[in-house]
Amino acid sequence: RELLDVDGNFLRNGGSYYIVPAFRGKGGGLELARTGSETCPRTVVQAPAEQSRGLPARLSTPPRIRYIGPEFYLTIEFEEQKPPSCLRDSNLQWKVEEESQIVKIASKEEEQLFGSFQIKPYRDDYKLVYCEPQQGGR
Amino acid sequence: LECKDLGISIDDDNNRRLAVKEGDPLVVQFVNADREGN
Repeated sequence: RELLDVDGNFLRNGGSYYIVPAFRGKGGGLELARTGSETCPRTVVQAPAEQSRGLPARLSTPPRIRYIGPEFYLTIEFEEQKPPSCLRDSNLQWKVEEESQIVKIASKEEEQLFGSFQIKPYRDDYKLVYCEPQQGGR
Repeated sequence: LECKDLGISIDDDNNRRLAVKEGDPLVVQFVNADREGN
């Protein structure tokens, strides 16, 4: 099954998309927020405002392909026009924090060349999955 | 490679955090941001 945006176009490798909930009523699209003891917004959250689309996220996979399929491992990184100064040197690439299993922004040292996320068709829409790197890497 | 669903985990401050939540995924759609000149 192909992966399509809301307009019915294929998801492009390297394309930028707002990731929004398929069902309304519990918040908006995905964005960044400061949670817990963070001094900088590093946690990926659903925007509290229903009408917010959140931040655009670039979806990319190393293979030189034009469109993304459900089998490809993706790097997902937010594209923030005006990031706070504490994130100015970061690529805003997603990672899953090992201990908490929460999705956060990777530090410069943690940024990966190969992605760990996939987009899977789910019911009439999609879900995001995280694929745990095996020891020794892929 | 073991892949797990990403869903929503709500913290004490009501932040709806994206987290590994196998069996309870956040169902999403994609809106092209490039078309808006972003």
